[in-house]
Amino acid sequence: MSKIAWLASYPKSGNTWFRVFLTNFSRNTVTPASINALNTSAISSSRSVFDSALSIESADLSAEEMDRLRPPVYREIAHRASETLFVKIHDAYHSAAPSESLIPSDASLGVVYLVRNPLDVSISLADHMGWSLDRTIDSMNSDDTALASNPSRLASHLRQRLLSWSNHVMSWIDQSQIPVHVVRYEDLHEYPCETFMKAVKFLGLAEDADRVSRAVSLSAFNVLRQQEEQEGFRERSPKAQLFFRSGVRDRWRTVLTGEQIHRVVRDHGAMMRRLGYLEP
Amino acid sequence: MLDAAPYYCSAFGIKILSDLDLGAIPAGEPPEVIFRVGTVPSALEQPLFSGVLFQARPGSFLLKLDNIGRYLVTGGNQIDIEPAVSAHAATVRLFLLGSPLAALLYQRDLLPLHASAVLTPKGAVILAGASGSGKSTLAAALHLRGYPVLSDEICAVTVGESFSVLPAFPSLMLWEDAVEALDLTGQQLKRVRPGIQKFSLPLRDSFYRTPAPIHRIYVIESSFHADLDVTPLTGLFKIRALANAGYHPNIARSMNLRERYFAQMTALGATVSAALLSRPERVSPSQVADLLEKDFAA
Repeated sequence: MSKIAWLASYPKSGNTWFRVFLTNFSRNTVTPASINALNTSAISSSRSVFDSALSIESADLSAEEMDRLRPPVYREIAHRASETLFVKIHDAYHSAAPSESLIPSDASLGVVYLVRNPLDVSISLADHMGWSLDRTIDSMNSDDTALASNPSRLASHLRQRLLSWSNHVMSWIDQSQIPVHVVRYEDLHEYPCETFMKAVKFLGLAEDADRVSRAVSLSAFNVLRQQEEQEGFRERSPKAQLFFRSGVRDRWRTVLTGEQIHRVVRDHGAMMRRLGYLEP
Repeated sequence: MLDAAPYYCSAFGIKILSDLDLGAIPAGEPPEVIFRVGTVPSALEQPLFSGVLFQARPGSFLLKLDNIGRYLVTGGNQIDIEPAVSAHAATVRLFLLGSPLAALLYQRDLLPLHASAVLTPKGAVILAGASGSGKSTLAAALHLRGYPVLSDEICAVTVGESFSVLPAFPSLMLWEDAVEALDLTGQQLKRVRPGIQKFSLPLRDSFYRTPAPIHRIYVIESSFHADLDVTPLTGLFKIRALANAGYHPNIARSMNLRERYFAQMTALGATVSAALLSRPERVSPSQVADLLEKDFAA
């Protein structure tokens, strides 16, 4: 009997980078882990995990029927695990049924919530989805936005409701059922060792500064980029050329138009201020 | 014979008497298995396994789906079905012909694979793979090139002196994107369940009704690498790939049939040729069919 530590984020906010770090941290070796063999999983939405746990074809269920089955499946997976599971999740923290959240608190150890400036998220997300920037900015302001929501094909992942960017952030950081630790993508860049150390502490892992610093170097952007160029990356979207693209922040200053910046700030200004992405 | 309940029909070489129309080919008496609509208990006594949706013990399997129905499979010769009050008949049938049917096949010592199968001049070719790997789409592409279809979704194999595929149902199930990719839009398609964009394509004369010896098993794997290719499976890789190709092997395990499942898979692997088909997401069904046609004819 064990619990799940959720690695939650809106897409393209540093979740994978954080998982690479955790893998390198737990391996504790001098060579970098393969990006295609991360020992944290994407089981929160993987259809094959649900098919196997339920022993039915979950694709024949509606997205709403599936949402109702997610809490008991997470409970069962946690129950059968022998150690803490680190699980990536992009869904907003929403209700699966009137009385139950998608994520059962009794099976959860805590949530590391990764957040990134929505101005930069829009650029990465547009590339990942194969959308224009304008369409992406519209989607980030809609509560109907979801991943794997095309009903005309059998997707390898379950539908994941994202809500708007602001509501996604709010749903996770303002919920009171599961302990939450917020990590800013920008801080992972600027103060990687300190920022990862705080997360390591929150997750109850070994507070070893040398080990953190080694894992940080093994998870450097150029290491990941080089691996992707050599062997490909299984989590890359078929619509994107590369998953690990630029790894820099504040690209929005040169990529977005004034009008696009204005729209993002108009839609998400309040949450951006709260997270330090806008002057008060 | 009137086209009304009860239905005398046959699937996987088993004569069935069913209260529900299964869409199977007609067959005569006497039935070997009964599918009966009636009451089904909400729990098994002393289950060996209790999961989110099902309970099981040797010889019994109970599946419970909210607002759809309960299914109890017993002794390899009976399935009791209690549809939920509001359930649509197509929905009740769709889930009946999934895990409960597989549980029945496991109880009858058959080996159900998660696969489709077509008949080629060299014998039955099995297309196995996880949900979404493109088994049915590929079977449909081969059907359009004139290969008769033996089964779709669940492919029951006899394990013993000969290894054969048993003919299943005279239809293929396809998602909307496959219907479009294969240009089947004008065909007589039936939605498998209200609200789900998945359709049943009737096969009529191109359904093959006789058991066929297996020529080769292809295990389809979506690949994030660029190349579409076929590699023969041997040794441990072969056993591992086949062990994953069963239809929800947890069903067998929950009824204490795990050892027999592995013994059957090992026997299958020792006798039948198998290959891994890696396909990148962007490759079209007809490109995959081209490669397969070349490979299974060689």
